[in-house]
Amino acid sequence: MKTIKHILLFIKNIVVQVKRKWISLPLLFVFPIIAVGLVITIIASFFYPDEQQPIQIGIVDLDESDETQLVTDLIEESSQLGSYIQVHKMKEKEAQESIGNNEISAYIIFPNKFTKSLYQGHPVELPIVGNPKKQMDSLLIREIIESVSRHIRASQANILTINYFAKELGMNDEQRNELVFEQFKEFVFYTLGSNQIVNERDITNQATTSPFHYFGMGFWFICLSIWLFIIYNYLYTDSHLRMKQRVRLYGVTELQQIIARIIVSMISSLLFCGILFFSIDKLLDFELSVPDYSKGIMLTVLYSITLLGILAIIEVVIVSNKLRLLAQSIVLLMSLVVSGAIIPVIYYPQWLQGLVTYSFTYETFYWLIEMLLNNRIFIDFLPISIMASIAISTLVGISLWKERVID
Amino acid sequence: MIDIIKTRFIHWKKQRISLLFWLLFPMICTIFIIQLITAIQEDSQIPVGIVMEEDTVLANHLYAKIKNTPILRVVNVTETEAKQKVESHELDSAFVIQEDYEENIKKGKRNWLIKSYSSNLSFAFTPVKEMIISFVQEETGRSKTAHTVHDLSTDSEIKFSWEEVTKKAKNIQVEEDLLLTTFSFANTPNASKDPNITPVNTWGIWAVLSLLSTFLIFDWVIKERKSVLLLRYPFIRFSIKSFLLRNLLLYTMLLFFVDIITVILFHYVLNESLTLAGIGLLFMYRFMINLGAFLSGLMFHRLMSYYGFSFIITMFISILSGATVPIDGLTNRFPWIVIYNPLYSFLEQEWFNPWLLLLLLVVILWRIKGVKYNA
Amino acid sequence: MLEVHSLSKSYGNKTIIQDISFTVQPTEIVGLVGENGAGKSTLLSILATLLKPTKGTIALENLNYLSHRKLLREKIGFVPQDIAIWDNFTVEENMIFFEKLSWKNKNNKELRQLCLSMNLDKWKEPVKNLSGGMKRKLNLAISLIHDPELLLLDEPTAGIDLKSRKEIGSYLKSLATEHEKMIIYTSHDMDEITSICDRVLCIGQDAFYQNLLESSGKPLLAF
Ligand SMILES: Nc1ncnc2c1ncn2[C@@H]1O[C@H](COP(=O)(O)OP(=O)(O)O)[C@@H](O)[C@H]1O
Ligand SMILES: [Mg+2]
Repeated sequence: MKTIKHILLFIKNIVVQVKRKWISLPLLFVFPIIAVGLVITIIASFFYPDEQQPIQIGIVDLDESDETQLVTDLIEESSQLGSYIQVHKMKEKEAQESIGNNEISAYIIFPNKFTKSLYQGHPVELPIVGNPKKQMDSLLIREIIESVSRHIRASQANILTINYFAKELGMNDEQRNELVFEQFKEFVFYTLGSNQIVNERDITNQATTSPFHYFGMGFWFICLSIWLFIIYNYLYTDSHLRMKQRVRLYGVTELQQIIARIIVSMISSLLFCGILFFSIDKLLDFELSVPDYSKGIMLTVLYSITLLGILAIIEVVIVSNKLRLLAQSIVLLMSLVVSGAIIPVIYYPQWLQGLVTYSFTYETFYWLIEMLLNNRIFIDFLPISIMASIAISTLVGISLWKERVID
Repeated sequence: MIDIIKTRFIHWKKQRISLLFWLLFPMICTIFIIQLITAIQEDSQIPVGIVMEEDTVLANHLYAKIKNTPILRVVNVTETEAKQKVESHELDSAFVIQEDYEENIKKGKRNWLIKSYSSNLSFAFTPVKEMIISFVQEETGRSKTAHTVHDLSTDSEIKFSWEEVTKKAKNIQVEEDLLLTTFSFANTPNASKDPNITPVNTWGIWAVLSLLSTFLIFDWVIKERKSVLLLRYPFIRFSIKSFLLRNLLLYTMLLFFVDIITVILFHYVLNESLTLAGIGLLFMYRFMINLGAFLSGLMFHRLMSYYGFSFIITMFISILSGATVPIDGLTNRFPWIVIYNPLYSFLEQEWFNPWLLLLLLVVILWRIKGVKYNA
Repeated sequence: MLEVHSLSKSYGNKTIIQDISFTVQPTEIVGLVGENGAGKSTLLSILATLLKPTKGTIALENLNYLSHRKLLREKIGFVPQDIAIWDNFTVEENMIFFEKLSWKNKNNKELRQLCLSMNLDKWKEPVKNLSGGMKRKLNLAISLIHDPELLLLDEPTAGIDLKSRKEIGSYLKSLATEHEKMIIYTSHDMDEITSICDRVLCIGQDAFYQNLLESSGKPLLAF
């Protein structure tokens, strides 16, 4: 009873304090939205290259044989590589300048005697020069060039095979050379038509399963976490040892102050999050029902308790302010990375995926996505409830133990 | 100055563990992060579902090839499972090796040999599809070759079987694996077959971490301007401004010394280049963040607010500078971001550093008049 | 010699000190009394060059306060009301720290002697473990490192035990007589004031202190 009275007293005290610093409140609200918005934009733009601004690649033909000219012309004209990529023929010098001016992401060089070497079976090197300022593009280009060169390798082997059997069949040199060039062209076109191999089926029967919904939720979830972190620390007051001792004389424990801060941070973060969710829902429309809302709120509350509990444990354990903030930020950052809110967890290594399932952030985000994007009705609250209780009881245990030890 | 050093040493002796921690923190943490990301990246796999509708040599061959690709993690599924798992995003995408795959290839057909399932959450679909196409294309191309040879030999008595030709083609491809692609970045000396294109940048991470640690180390600017101690400064040999500036110089020397160790360590551990120009730029960066931390310290009276500010500024700069996550997507759309990036000069090896000049100007103005120290 | 001539100080239109004149000679200890908020600390700050007076002139050894601030500070020792030392340092480290920054060079032995002469013997002890009296002594010792001519103390004996108080008192006395310093200090302890000070300056129109002083027989400074 007395404990609750004390906590209420502290909450009142915090409210009074915050009222004095009200100017910083909008900042607390806006700052995470801006920061997280930036990060999400960056990541999403990586996965979703802008079709308005396709990746620009240069092709430098130093060989200038009939074959390379045919190939480079075809590549430049066709959109075989998809609408994300645009290819331009250029001179080597131009290409170097274009990289310097950040106009292209990479260029490929068909070296001197490229065709001749291929026909004769000499090794050839196909250098790709990437733009260090566009490393992400380069990653993608390299993947694609890898496939393209596999095509070239296969075609080359096939042409050499035909050449071999033509010789076996006693064809004369002139005829054979003609045949080989014919076959070369054949194979170029054959390769360009290779996308007929796959019959693509799109699975998008649900309106809400769009990347926007996924990243929208991710954005919201990260904002929630950062708000909890920032507000909790914003309410931290560095009371002197003497003050602490005096306060303890009234039977007040550090734990009660911490719980008061946890409650205030949670309520204000939930408020902020409500506003943010409302805005995101207006934009994306998650088609939620009333029970969905109550489950969502339940999940959010349990999550907030766990996160704040962990932050508070760190605060009790680490005395130095600088170190405490560092430890809390690292824990927060790590938990967010494994939650899947930034990058979907399925792309992580398997050992990491195994570990991730124990993380409370993953647990929360997984069920949020299941509920909002995949229309799951049943939500397993058990794991996150257990995690929340562990966090809180550890906090209580450690701070009571610490209080006893100091006395 | 010797006296200032001696007084500073008394402080440093008192906080040696904390000081040492924050001095080494950027260096050690960078190495750790790089190793961690490399490990994660090496083990990262795209989960792809494969449905086998037939059990033939060619189909199994394709399956084995896909399975042996390091960046893919193959999950065996039925077609129904595939659809459902792609939909719930447990798989990035799924591919069905269709019935009559081998027979069709042998007949020289190639259309719709494979069926794919993907959703708009299938981030890796395009590269994976391209890769599988190139695998299949190898087979169909050989089959086409066999048919071409068959056509060539219609008038001849010598006949070659389908198996014979494809085997020969395969052998040629293996024996004469002649086409190499090499990758290098412009302005870097050596190209390599397997360059380490990581989306992370060692010096970028270091720059951000050392920004944070520098700000936290510079809490002395606040501690030593505590109001009680302010009363002592009029009765010492130095004016408070000159006292603070001399200490700034001393901290700059200490931190730069650690930076030099960092350069050497990174050179040996992470294969970063070690050049004189690099060290010059590093010094400019060091000087810039020290001035920044110094001036920020002067603006604050409460340690906690200053720490909060340090973390927030680090977070923003780390996002906007592209030091931690590549921001190509952002700078392509908003090129002006580059101009406001204080890490630009250091990370892009640019000698012109407007932030350094600006901060230097502010400090000089502060020294000659301006801001009252206890305002 | 310290000469103060018709000194006034006001904040806005609130006048704290009005038209005071007095002189202090070497070897003299002057007590400063007055109720809380009367302006004692303000006056000391002005004499320490930390605040500018609204009106009036001050000179120390014929150096005018308006034109020789820097030079004067070398001759002034100021002991602030709040304890201004490094809490995490030992006594030794505190002394060395401020010696390095001071105008005068003193070796370790001299510094130690300075502390010993007021019975501060815990040389290697971290300051945070010291008693209030010890901290006060250290606070005073630091201000004496550069051998100032004029010593200004703001409640140097506030809130400490009788023994330390006596030790500080007798130390100040010896400082004035043997080393010919001028000392001005404030205190609320009448016994202390009457036993140590040669003269007493009472600020504020306060009959209570004036009566107290008259009954003690100490000469009151004329305004
Ligand atoms: N910066 C200031 N601005 C306005 N009033 C001040 C300022 N500093 C002190 N005062 C006022 O001057 C008066 C004298 O203060 P002080 O010299 O500290 O008194 P004492 O030391 O005798 O207790 C007090 O009433 C105080 O409120
Ligand atoms: Mg006072």
